[in-house]
Amino acid sequence: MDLSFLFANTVNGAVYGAFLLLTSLGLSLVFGLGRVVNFAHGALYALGGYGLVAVMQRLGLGFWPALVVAPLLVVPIAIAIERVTIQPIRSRPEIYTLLVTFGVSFMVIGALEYVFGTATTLVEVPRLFAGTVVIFGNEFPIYRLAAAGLSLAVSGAVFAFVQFTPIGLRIRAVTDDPGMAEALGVNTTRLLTLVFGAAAGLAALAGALGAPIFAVHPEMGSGILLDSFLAVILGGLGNLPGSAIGAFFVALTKSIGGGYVADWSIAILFVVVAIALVFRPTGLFGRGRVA
Amino acid sequence: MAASRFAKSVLLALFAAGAAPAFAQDTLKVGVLTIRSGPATPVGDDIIAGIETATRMYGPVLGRPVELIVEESQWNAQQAVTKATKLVQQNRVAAILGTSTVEALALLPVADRLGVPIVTSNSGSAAITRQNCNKWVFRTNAEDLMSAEALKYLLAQNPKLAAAKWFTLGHDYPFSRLVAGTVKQVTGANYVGDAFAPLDTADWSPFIARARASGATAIMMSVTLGTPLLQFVQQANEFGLTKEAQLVAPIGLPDWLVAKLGPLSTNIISAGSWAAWRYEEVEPATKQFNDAFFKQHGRVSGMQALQSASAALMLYNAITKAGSTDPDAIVKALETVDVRTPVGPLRFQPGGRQALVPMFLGPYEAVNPPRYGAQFAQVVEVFPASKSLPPTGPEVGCKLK
Amino acid sequence: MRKTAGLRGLVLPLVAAGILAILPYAGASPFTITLLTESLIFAIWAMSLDLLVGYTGLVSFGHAAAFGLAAYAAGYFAREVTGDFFFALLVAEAVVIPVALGFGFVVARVSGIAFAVISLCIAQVLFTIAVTWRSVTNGMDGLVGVPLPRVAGVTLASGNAFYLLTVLCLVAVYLWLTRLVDSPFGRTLQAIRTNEERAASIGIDVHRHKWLAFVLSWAVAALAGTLMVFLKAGTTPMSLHWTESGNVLIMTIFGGIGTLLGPVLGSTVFVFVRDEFTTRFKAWQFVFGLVFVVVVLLFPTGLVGAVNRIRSFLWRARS
Repeated sequence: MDLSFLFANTVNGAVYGAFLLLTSLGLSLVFGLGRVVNFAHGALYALGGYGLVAVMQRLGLGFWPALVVAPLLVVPIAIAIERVTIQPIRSRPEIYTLLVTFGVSFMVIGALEYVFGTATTLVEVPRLFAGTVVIFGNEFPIYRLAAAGLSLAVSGAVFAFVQFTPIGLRIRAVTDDPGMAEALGVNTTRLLTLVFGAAAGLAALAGALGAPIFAVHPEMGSGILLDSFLAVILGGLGNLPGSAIGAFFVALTKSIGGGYVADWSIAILFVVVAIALVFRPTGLFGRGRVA
Repeated sequence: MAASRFAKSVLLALFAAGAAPAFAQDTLKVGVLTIRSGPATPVGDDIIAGIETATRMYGPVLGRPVELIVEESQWNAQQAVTKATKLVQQNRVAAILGTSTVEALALLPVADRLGVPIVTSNSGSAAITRQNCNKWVFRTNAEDLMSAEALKYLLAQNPKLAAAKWFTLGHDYPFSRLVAGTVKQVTGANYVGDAFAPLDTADWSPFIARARASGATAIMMSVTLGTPLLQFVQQANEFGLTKEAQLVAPIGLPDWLVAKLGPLSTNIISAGSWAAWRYEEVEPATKQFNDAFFKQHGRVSGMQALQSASAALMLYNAITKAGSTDPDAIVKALETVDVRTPVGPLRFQPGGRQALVPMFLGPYEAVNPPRYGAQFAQVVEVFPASKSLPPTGPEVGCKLK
Repeated sequence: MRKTAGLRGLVLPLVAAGILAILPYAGASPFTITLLTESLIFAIWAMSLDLLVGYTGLVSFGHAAAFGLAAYAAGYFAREVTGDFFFALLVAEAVVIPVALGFGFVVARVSGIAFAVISLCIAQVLFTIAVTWRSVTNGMDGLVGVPLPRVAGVTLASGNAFYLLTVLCLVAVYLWLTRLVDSPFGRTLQAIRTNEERAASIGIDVHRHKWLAFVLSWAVAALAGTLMVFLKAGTTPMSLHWTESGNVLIMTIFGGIGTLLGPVLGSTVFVFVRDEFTTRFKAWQFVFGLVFVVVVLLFPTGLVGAVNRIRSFLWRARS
């Protein structure tokens, strides 16, 4: 296979990486802030996809308005989840939030199956971005590139928010040293609820954005959950730049690996992550907080 | 300690709950083991729907109404064995219908322990009715090696396809490998490559790129029927691959999937569907079934429904012929019944367990005016069993004890 | 809550075993025995995980690796050579223990989430091997043709006979593990679970202990895998999948970690509840998730903890 093939896979990998970024950032923030491993993240992604479909079908909205509305519908649900199932057990060992969110994900997916049925819904690509574009002799769907661009823009906004705003400062403070931040008057409980809701919004946006590519079905979140998890662990929980690098690494490995070795590609990813963790248990860029 | 005492009482309560009092049942119980959750659920829905319609059409068996007991396997071999055991031990079913490849393969080794006829209508693995054949397990759909013959025929009939550059793209299942092997054998020098994706692939772009890089002009899609196939076709279309290459479905597409694809389905040719509703244009039994199915379920009958209905009809006819629900008697009757089913007149190979069933080749096209709510469907050319399968069991390596 | 080694620790488990053993002959329905057999196999598997999670403080997301690997090894041997149970078990251990020694040495260097994720990766790699090494494993279709097991020349053809074998294995493992966790080795593990750094500072060779705990838990899990492959007459790559690892983790924590009995209870409840829910409810996933969330929120120490709470409540109410 030649350079053209490598190029095609690299671009496709980068596109998926942009998606993964949206979900990984949220996952990383929530863990870094509250030491909460959110296993329901994939279910929130699925809720975003279903929100899009429901809004388009039941309210008759077009794709773009629906894209904005869907995440806004998911955020209150996520906040309710956080209040009811996560807050009460924050003082317990981390494994318990993982377990409870695991149960929540079953509930959400079961509810989606019950309400919408188990069938898959194909979502048409918005006409504005239909068709393909040729880059260096390779055809790429315009929508994928546009969606990736949008994901990058939103991710960039998240980065900027965390880096340059007062709330962002508090988030970074709590991630760094929760005890000190509390002592200085930061309401960590409220902050976590806020961040959890925002992370859910990002995941929902990713689900809605990805709907024309990956279709909408109840189990749509499980693949991206695992990938986001790996990305965040690889990069270092709570470390945003690290998670970004992790996301692109996972996406590119899957894409280039898939292109060259197909059935083995997933194993490569796991081997790399395992080796990386053995030598750097807190992630490649983690800052020494032993998980 | 209290905990272990509690454990004991929990177990005693469980055994008490499980000890079923024996009392006479009026209904004739038939078990259906299939998929009820996950991405392949629509397949399970169709299987059940087909059996329901067939049951309604046939009426009471041996004077008793038929009670269908559905259990799901979660597409997991271990669960399939547990649930089949439940159907037999707890519900005392006379036979088990449904079952796709995963369940059929899981039940095969324990069939003797279960001791009831199992009539599968949705499993492709040839070994089930060839070298691993078993007294209890019957099959009504075409198996992989039969599909291979249909493919050879398709290529022989279609010069454009015969001259195309072939690529096999699918999941990493033994079936995929078999299909790839067949295509390679048949197309020889025109075989340009294959790619087998991991199970839960949602993003097909690397594999689409690979197909493209190899210069494929015909792609055999051995992707799992269900969400993955929908995603693949949609993505292949988005990448413009469907303009360059003809998509071929080795065993056809379920009609709910055709409906979802809509106009995209016209890019696809079936290399041998296990059933096709447009066979009604030739076979009255198919028309009768399609009407009843549409009346009961409000949609067109699909491949899996037609097949599962055929299996159910074979079973009910066999039980009637046997005159009892004794498992051995049913098996003996199944070996000799000849039934007019929605896939045509059907009987099992003498000395074997595979039905001499036809396959249906052809492209997908728009249906004008829509029939049974279907706007797109496969054009049907019948490929009879006589051309794809030796007539008796021993000839395919089946040695029944 | 700690079981004391000694007569009391021996009598009660044996009595419980006795009751389990006579259930098939005391009127329990055949399907209950089938489910119970499956529950007890999972119980052995879950107890092995508890050794890691509850006693050494290492959460594994990939415990299916030991289980599935043993299933394939034992199943393959049984099909190709002989269905003798003890030989198959020996072969399974002969495959699983060296692999555990190798992986364990590496993974014992870390803890916490890193440990969890690496164990997941190991399982997924084995899963991929099972899917792609088709000449041996038959790929996704799985290993078939495993014969009925034989013990001392007698073929265990009936469900009851196999059930009795399972009960025997469960009791043996339970007794052995309870002694192990009370031994100096077991207490060292618990010290590591409490605070790894402090344990190291008083001279404990943390790495070696974690390594050994890992290997032991895999060795016990291998027994469960061997039993399962005979029960199902085969296995598939799904026995190595992370969803199976998730199941056994749930059973263990659900039941109550660090108790050994908890996993037994957890497995039994899980298997029976799952069977009931999947038959009864079309939306069983939702109900399952709901029950799960409620138990995690209200019963942090799992079922065993819940039982003890109810028991002490009743005791207080009585007095």
